[in-house]
Amino acid sequence: MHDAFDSAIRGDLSSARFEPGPTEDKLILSMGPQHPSTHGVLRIMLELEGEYILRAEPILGYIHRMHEWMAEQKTYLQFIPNMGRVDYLHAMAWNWAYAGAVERLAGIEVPERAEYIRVAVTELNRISSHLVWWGAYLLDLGAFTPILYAFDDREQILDILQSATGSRLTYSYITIGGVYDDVPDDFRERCIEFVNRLRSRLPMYRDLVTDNVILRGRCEGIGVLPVDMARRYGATGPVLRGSGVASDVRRCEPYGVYDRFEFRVPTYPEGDAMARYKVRLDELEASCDIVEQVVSSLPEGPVTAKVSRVFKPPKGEACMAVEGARGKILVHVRSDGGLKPYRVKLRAPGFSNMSLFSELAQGVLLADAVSILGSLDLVIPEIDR
Amino acid sequence: MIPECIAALGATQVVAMDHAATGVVASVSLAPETILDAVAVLDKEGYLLEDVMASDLKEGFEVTYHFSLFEGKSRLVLRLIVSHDAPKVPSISGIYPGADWHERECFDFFGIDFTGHPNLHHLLLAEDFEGHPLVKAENSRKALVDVMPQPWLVAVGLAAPEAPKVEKIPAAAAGAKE
Amino acid sequence: MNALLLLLTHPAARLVLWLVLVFAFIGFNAIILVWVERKVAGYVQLRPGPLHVGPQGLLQPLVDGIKLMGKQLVTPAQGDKVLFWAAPLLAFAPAIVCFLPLPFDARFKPLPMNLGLVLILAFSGLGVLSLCLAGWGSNNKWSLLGAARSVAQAVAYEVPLLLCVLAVAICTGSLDLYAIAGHQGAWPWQWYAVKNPLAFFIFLVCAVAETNRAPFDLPEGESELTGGFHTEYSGMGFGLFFMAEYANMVIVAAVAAALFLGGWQGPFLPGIWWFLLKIYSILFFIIWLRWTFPRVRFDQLLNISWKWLTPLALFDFALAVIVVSIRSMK
Repeated sequence: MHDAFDSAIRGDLSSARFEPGPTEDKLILSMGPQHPSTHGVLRIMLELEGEYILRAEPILGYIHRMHEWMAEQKTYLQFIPNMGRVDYLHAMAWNWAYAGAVERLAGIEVPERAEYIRVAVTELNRISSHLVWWGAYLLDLGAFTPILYAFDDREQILDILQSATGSRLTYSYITIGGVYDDVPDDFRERCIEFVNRLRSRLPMYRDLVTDNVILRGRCEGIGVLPVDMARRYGATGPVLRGSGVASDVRRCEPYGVYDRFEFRVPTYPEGDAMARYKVRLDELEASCDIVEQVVSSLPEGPVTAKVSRVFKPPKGEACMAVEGARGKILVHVRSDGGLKPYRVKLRAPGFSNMSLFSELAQGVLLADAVSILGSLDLVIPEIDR
Repeated sequence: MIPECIAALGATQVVAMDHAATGVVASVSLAPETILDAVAVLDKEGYLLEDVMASDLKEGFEVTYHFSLFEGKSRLVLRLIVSHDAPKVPSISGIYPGADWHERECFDFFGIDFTGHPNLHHLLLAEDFEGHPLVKAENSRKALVDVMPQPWLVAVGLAAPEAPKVEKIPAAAAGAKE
Repeated sequence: MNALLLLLTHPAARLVLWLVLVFAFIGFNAIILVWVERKVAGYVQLRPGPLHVGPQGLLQPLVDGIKLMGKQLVTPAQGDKVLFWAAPLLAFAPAIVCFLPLPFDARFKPLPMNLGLVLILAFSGLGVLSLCLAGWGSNNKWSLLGAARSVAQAVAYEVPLLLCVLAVAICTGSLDLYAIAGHQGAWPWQWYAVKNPLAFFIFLVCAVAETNRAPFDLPEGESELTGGFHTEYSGMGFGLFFMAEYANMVIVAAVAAALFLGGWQGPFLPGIWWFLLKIYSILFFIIWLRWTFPRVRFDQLLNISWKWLTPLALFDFALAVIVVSIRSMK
């Protein structure tokens, strides 16, 4: 009976490749797909000796939805709602990447006001994404309270974005040729109000959380990522900037109107979990600065270019890189001149960042692996697509 | 804008692209056998691997690699085509370990065999999934000339230079009011 | 009637009566403490906490308890049935015994003995056995890791805990909690918390660690070990661990109150109220810690004990011995 039971639970290809072997002191552990710190349905096979990790292998695909196939079945405009579901925390950036790629393909000029609005909503969305990350990361480290403060702030953003876009999480606001609709009249006041509120709360977060000795003990020197390794794995976003590289798509290939705004690209050279943590917290402030500049210089005008209902871009291919909260989002669109894309490829930053984990987690404690996993800021639907 | 190292890639064709229109600065066509050498050159130059993408064309599976530098508009596309019957591409995961998962994804979706890959099995699809979802039916495959931008086709000699098709797109009525 | 009263004065009858009272106290206290914990957590986290069941959600823990009792008890397929179900009972039973020697008031003496402190330390040491059995009996890898953690943690923190308890005991020359509490006065400057703050601090840290409370809740370590030793427990199996955790919290708080805060003594109010007040202040502090700090890592946890607390406690103990011997020479 036990044998049957054993073979039933060992029938998995991924776990079969993690056999205990001759020694008895190794523990093969399947962490996930349901586990409090894998943020959804990620599964990691672990080979442990005591609590030290000898080998770790992420197993993906538990929330795979084949967005790239769906793209080939839908018209260009019909695919936009899918983008909000790829990365539910920073849906705006994905929207923008897809819309931007199609606009490049078709040579559509986006009205200035729409570009400004895009920047504002994307940055607000980035703040909300980082806030969720911040709360969830501290939850991973066993601090229960910060996430509620983060959600309290995030709620304000969701209210603002809801008033503009009509949805709270999975936006389809940025559309081909501009944005779906103009922002409400009080958008500016509410953004300013929120920015001031968040700025007044950031020092509290720093005092209470960032400077906490236990938190520092859990983050400093953990999961040190050298620049070269980050490059070979294709790590981008705060993970790369946490290794001291000031690489940001908003800076190096500015899209939209990002080149008109002053903002800081924070970097920390240490490359550990704490550096990634600090980069994200600094980005909160940087995004606040951008939002403030955008709403105080929002030009008048139309918010969408005229795009025909039967939209057929010319044949060709284009890609668009956007700085998402997790890193460089790259959407390739390939058109054969028809109603539907011929091929759409979504490059998720989390996918590349996650592939680092195997190497980073080697030889660390289980608790550190949780810390490293959290510091990579994973959104599993984005990785699995 | 084309970086100098491109000369060392052993490319069959190099085409400078308009970044504003395509998002890349240069498109480099390669023979599948030379990809390892070319990628090794890019690695030495400090390029970051963005992704590995495949698409199904009449000519075969087109595998494209996107690389960029940490700074500036620097995206390079390396493209190679392998036949449908024996889709074998050398794996670059030895040079760029980040390519490991991207190649597994291409294997999942297209069935492309990345030779030398340490661990080529399903990544995103279920382990008992049969078939490759993004492989198109024979009659819906398009040829390279149907999916590539006109400037590229002109540059590689697949289209006549004076075909100003790009100019007259009705959808591109920019900035028009509702 | 007289015979009945006479019976009540018999030590055995008094013990039974006291046991009943202790049971009632533990049960009632668990309900109150869960409510306090959730209210404090709510206050810390900018939310109201339980609100709808009873006034200010006071009955919420009761309803939760009923829910737990109504749940199916699941035994893991390949678990050791006996050990698996013995563990929660073993977690809870020692806690009851530990309540007997607590000095609630000068007049209540359920179990008059001069080794009350030893009894508490001995029986609270049993608690780790239950975690160990729970982890082993579950046949679950997460539980096993939790069990391994709990043993190492309990061993590490029992040493400094004992040392600083001894430091106090040596000053009073007794192991009877009544004597130790009575040795101090009603005013803060007469308490050992003021006279020997180092021992008090070490005791508090060790108390949090011994009761597996955050930031030292590694045997549970929810975000690492899913649930640690109690991953596989459902219904009242989990409920007993839960109650035992709160009972243990009360015990350590009571011992701290007796050893360091003068026990039941205080001005104006009757002793029992002072004692409860002191217990609940310490409990509030422990709850406050939990909702503020992240969890420490396992090696950090052991380092804190072996590299800091144990040497400090040794130093404190030596200091106490020197002070006592100088005093006795006079």
